[in-house]
Amino acid sequence: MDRYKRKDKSCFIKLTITSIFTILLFALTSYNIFKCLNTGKSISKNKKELIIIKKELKKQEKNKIDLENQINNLNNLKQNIENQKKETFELAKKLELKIMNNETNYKIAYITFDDGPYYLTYKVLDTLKQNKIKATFFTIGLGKESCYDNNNEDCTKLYKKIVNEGHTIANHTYSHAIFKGLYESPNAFIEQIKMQENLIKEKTNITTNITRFPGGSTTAGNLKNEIIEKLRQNNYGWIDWSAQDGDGGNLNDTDTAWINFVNTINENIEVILFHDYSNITLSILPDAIKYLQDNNYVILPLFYNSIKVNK
Amino acid sequence: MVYNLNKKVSVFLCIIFIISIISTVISSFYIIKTNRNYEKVKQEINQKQKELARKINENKNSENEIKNLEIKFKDEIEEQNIWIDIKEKINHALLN
Repeated sequence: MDRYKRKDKSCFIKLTITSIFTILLFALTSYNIFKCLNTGKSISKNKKELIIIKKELKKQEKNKIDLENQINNLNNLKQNIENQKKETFELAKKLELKIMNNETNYKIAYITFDDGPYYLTYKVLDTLKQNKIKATFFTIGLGKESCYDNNNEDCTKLYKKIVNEGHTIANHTYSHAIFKGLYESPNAFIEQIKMQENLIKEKTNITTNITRFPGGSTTAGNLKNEIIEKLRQNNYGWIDWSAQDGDGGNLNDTDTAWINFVNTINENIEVILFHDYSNITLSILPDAIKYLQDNNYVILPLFYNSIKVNK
Repeated sequence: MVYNLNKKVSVFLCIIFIISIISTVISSFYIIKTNRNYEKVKQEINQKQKELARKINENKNSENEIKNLEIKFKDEIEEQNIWIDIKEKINHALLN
């Protein structure tokens, strides 16, 4: 009997220990499950956060590409502007052909300024800039109206300003000396053209092959055809004009200038002659631009391939 | 009789005990695995956050560079816009 009692007691102790261990193990398992669930929740929360971060990263990556493109564009602005210019002239050529074939109601006006640069050229350039217009400047090297007589440095600045602001710089001979040997011979004329070409190249690093006879091609008289042939041989194009306000002559008031200007605007492709030394032209210029725009003219700077440039 | 009863209870307890050991082992295994996953995700988050901060910083620098370039090339930008405007006008004229 005593033996059974001892066996029961030992058995009871073992059962109790096992039960305690079992309870502890269950508690541990429950704790593990609880922790697992919590960590799982944290993982899914973190994964969501990770998705958001990855999305933001992609966005930033795209931004980076856009920003890099913008920086490249800004660093290549000069090249981009040149490309824009090239494309514009190609389109302008197409428009000229369309106008010549009467396929559009639009017209073209080439505003040109002769005999500069002059100190007033700054104001002319400002007016053009305000109106977002590009024009053509037929420059001379020596002449009483040129800034070259007064201040060398300013003149260089002006040449550069004309080019930097996107206008076409063209050749109007170095001396403009109509009555002092310019039209003595074709060679004398070509020499003056070459001298001005060199001056423009020196001041702006640009070689221009658009020229204009001082006084117009008829001023060359009997030599006109020979000079034209010489120009052609040297790959120069030349151009006269079809409209003007008369500022090259004895013009005293803006009313007359305006009447002259309006009365000469008749063609579908106009080449307008102004002088950038004229205060009168400067004062009618904003109205002249508006008049042209209101009458369906697209105002452009000249380019060598224009049908108006004789070759 | 008591002995017999104790035997049955001890067998039952033994089974429960074994089950609890197995479940503890499995749950511990899972908890290690889950913790590893958690650490992995956390590490990835940290890495991506650092990458994001770097990218944001780079982009901020680029934006500043653009602002400076825009100031530097103000005239050129204006110039380019005028040419775009002229081109648009010609295109409009060509289409009408």
